[in-house]
Parts: sequence; C-alpha cells; structure tokens
Amino acid sequence: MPTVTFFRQARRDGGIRTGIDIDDQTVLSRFEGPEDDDPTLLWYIDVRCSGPRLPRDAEAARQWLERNAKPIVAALEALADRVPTGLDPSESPLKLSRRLPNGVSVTVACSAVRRAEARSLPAILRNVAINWRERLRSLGMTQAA
Amino acid sequence: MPRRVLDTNILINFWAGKVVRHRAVDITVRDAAAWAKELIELQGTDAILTPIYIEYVCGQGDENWMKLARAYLDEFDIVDDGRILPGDWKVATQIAHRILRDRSPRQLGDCIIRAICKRLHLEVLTADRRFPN
Repeated sequence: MPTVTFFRQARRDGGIRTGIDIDDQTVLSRFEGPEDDDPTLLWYIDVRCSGPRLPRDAEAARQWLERNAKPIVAALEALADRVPTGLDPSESPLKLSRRLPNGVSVTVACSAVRRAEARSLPAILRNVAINWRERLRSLGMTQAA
Repeated sequence: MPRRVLDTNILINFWAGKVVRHRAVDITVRDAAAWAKELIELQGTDAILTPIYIEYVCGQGDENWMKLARAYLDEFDIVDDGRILPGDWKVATQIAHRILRDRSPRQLGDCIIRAICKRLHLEVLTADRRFPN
C-alpha cells in the first residue's frame, strides 16, 4: 500500500528535522539548528498515511497533506489530549488512527526517549498542529546522499 | 534515505519483550519475522546500519538463536548498503578520542554508527543513554 508520512523529530544536539517520506524515502525535508553533532533522537512525531490513491511525487504529496489539513490537525490535537501526564518514555510510541472519507488511513504517532521530552509531547503535537501548513511549505527537495 | 534508524538496543528490547512470553523451543522463524514487522510498524521505520546488524548477531549464543536472529534482521533494511567508508572511520576515531563528561568509555559500535549517521544525515532512535556525546 503506498504511504506518505510527514515527520518532525528532534536530536540531542538541538537539531530538528522535518520532512515528508513517500514509501519510506524522504523526498522533502528541512533541518533546523546544529547538524551532526549528536544524531540520537529525543522525540519524534509521525503522521503516517496509507491508501491506494496517495500521490507519488513530492509536490503532490505536500499538496495532499495541505488539502487534508483539517482531519490531520484534529488527529494531532486529539493525540495531544491523550498523552498521559506520567508517560513512561520506555513505553511504545503513542498512536491515534483515523480513516479519512477518501479511504486513506492516517495514524499519528509520537515517542520520546526521556521523561522531560515525554512531558512536552502534548505541546510539541499542538505546535505541529498549529503550524501545519507553514511546516509543509517550508520543506525543500531532499538531495540524494 | 529513511527518516530514522533503529539502534541495536531497540531491536533487542523489542525482541526480549516478545521472547519472555514464549518457550524458546516454540519460537519459529515466522514468529521472528512477524515480530520484526511489528517493530517496524510501531516505530515507522525498517532502517538499520551494518554495525547494528553485526552487533545484534554477535549477541547470539547458539545456532537456533542465530537462525531466529537472522530471520528477524532480514526484515530490516541496511541503509548503508554495507559500505563503511574511510571517512566514516576517521569521524568514528574523532568521536572515540573525545572524553565524555562522565569519563565513561566509548564503544566502537556507537562511534561508527554515529559516523555513518553523520554522512547519511540520519537520526538514530536509541535507548542507550551512553551513546557518545
């Protein structure tokens, strides 16, 4: 099943990478902050979409995520409301799934590796929700490694 | 490139959580592959690196566990394609030369994993708080 995933993830060195994957290959991305000092993750948020008619190229994927902003933002906010106060970072990623009217399945997942970041997950999810369109528009084409 | 790679301890911890509910003789290669797919689904990535693969198989103590480990690992994608470049070793050596704040020793695997991540612009999901920084 074709997949499109929006992700935002923070590194221990303060860098934050945001991007869009198509079938697990990053096609659009943006990196903020210091790079490549320490690549270990502190937290991540994924918006994982799967369905038969998802776009297959980068720009179309960005536009699809913008067009479906309303249910995706609602899912991000709903997951923010469900993060337990005393979330144990060793637990599995938290997830919330919704099915869109067009048959696409959307799963929002979030995870943190330390308690401090786990406590911040609701705010991080809401930040992604509030800035959804701006985050999408800020992404550039990813160069092959 | 994928969005993140899974460190050895993530693979081990997930496997350990599954194995504890089964008798060793009952675990099949099909179980191993299914558990790998479950972890991939959970964390949203199937990416690992060559040193992670090697670290994992190094921990296997008999032929049955090795067979299961290989079935488990076969579900993951080794995104460096087995290529560790001279520049990776140079960066790994620089990381190894750094004395950590807590004066703890660095591990070869962690140093080379971090060097490959730097080259490929990857992040690593790890439960290891001693990953060199």
